[in-house]
Amino acid sequence: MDRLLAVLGAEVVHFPLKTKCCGGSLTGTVPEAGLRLTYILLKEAVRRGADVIAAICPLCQFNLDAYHDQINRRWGRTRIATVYFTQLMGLAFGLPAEQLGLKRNFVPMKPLPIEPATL
Amino acid sequence: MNASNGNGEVRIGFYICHCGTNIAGVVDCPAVAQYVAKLPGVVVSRDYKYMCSDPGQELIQQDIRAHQLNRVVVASCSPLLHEHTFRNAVAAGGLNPFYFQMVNVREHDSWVHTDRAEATAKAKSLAHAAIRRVRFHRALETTRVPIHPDVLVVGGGIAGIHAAITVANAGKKVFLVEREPSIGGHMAKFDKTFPTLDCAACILTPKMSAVRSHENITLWTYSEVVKVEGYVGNYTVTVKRKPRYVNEELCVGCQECLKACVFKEPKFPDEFNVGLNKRKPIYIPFPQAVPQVVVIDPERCIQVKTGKCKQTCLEACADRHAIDFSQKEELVEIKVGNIIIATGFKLFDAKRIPQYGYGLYPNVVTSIELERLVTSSGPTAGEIVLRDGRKPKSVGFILCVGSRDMKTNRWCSRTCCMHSMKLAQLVREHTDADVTVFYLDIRAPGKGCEEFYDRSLKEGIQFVRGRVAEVTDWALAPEEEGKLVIRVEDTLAGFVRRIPVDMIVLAVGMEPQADAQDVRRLFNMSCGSEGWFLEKHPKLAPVSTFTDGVFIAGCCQGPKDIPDSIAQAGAAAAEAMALIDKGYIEQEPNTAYIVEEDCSGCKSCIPLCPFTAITFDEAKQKAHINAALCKGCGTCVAACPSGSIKQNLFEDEEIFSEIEGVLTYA
Repeated sequence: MDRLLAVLGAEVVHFPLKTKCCGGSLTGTVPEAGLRLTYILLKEAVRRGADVIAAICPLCQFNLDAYHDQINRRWGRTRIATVYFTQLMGLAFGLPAEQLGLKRNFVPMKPLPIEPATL
Repeated sequence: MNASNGNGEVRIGFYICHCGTNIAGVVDCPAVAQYVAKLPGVVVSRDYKYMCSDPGQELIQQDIRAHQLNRVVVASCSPLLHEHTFRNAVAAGGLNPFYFQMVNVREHDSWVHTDRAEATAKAKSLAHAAIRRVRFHRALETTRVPIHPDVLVVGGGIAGIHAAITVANAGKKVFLVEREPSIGGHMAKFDKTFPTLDCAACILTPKMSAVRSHENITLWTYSEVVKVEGYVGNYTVTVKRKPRYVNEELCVGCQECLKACVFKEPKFPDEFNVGLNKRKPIYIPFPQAVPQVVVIDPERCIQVKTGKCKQTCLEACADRHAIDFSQKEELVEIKVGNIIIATGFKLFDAKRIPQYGYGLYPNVVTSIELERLVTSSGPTAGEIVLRDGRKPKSVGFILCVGSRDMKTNRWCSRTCCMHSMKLAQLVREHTDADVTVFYLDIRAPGKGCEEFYDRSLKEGIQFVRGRVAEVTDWALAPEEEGKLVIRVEDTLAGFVRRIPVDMIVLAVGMEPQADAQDVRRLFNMSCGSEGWFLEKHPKLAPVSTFTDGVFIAGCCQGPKDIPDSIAQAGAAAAEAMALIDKGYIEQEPNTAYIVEEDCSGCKSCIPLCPFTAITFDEAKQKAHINAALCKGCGTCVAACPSGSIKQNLFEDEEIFSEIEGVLTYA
């Protein structure tokens, strides 16, 4: 995914936690444990200067996107959007944000610094 | 030869061997002997405990004399093992050795079957076939071909160097061909050798100089073998000599040209220092290089690439005229009798294991990079430093990188445990850093090696057992900030550890050379599934290959350390010299021949021969087979449309009667 997004024009941040667990279903069953795992990923992504997290798995995307309120309450403000890598591909191909469902996230993605290429 | 060898009455002696219990444990040997005794033509039929023993062979000889036997069949092990033994016994009894036929009732029967009755029946049917076949055997003579006394050694690492010097010291002429601009191989890059901590250069460079000055060695560096033709004793080898754009005879290695090069600063990665520093397009591979001659990199030199350079190097070379941009690639043909392959190995590319961060984190280095750092003639003059120039306070060694790993290479590279411990001790010597070694098992089987491991422990080097999961710069605690963190399950302590260090050394394993398959085809060798060149027998013929006159030495056969490489090189040299000093090669008579009156001259057979043994006689308009080149593969025999090619020991009547023998056994 690093290589794919890089050739599509993204600046990929070196993120050694890319294979660490997002919390999985623990966010629902054992929130103390699950949310902590989610928080570690969000915090480290912000610390390393990422604008957005790209995910493959729907559960990862949901955990990293949907629990910001609870995480902020527990550990202080940490805010970063998580989208599917396919949505970023769509942007690179010039599809409109609405069609890509980018507005349906809990945490919306920051606007792109440059206009994506138009088809 | 005995008159009974002629075409008169056939008198067969049959012997079945018990091979201890190897055969007799499954096959009822006396029953087989009794069965064969009743077959037509059989005069003697015996079973015996060990036919290959002296009394066993004596038995055959006595029977030949006492019963005027003129055919002998032995049912025992594989012909690979003892066909020669029994042929010699038959010859000693006064018979032509090719009146002998062997039946394999061990590998083909007792070792692969458990049912005694059926295995015995199979032994009988195989014996029946051989008894029918041997009747058609004819007296044949082995031929002798003279052997060329010169030897080719391919590869100028420590194994090739040692093999070349050994053969040359025995007074034979040696051609040593090396692909790189200098000989020395991997060993030239080492600082010290384990377990004695001898200076590697101090023991290698005298041998390198000896190669250069030896009157019997022709050294061709920057050269590659491109074609091999012929057979044992008589190989014709074509060597490609790449242009180095410097006349080796005229250059004295003063290196004035290096200073004069239009590239004021070294700009290109220095291969010898594994890219840790830079060199110019004109360079000398390393200070002790042999030959001590500069070389011009055709990929980098402006003059070679474009022809539009000021050629300041030529001016610097002045009257010597050693630099010669008109040099062209040259093909040289040589004749040799034996070939020793010592083409070595390549190191595992650590980037193939991305979780260890090689290429990503600058302070993750490979063992050979640390080796260059620790060498006083290396890029940092022996200082072990991080990429930013600081001295490391802690160093971690990760072992089995690309070894003993189902995802990359399954084999143990054998030297990395010891090599890493040597480097660990040198790190302790050169810095005050803490050293931790992450290992799966410490393998220190060589002489003095376990003692070296003990010494490493006593010197305060920490050992953590477990395969490292990942190397990360993700700090979880303040003491991890700015460091590389090794995450590993400590399988002795039983928990996952995070160990922060400044520098990580990956003990990369050995792999077959990238072009090992091409080299294998060139010299008609075999490779094991991993790509190492295959020896003829793992125990009894470790430096021979399946091609006679081609020997292997050093790491091209499999990972090994310097003493083992030297031992193999010496063994390969001795094997080659044994052939040379015998003076001739005895050739099996199982060659194909043309029945000229039947040959229609259709030439179908000529392109089929893998050994180019068949030529066309224009005068007679018939094909002709050179028996010296024929390996008896039988391809032409099967292909000939008129059936006019036949093969000694595999004549139609021999094969058909053997098949009938199996099918009609009752």
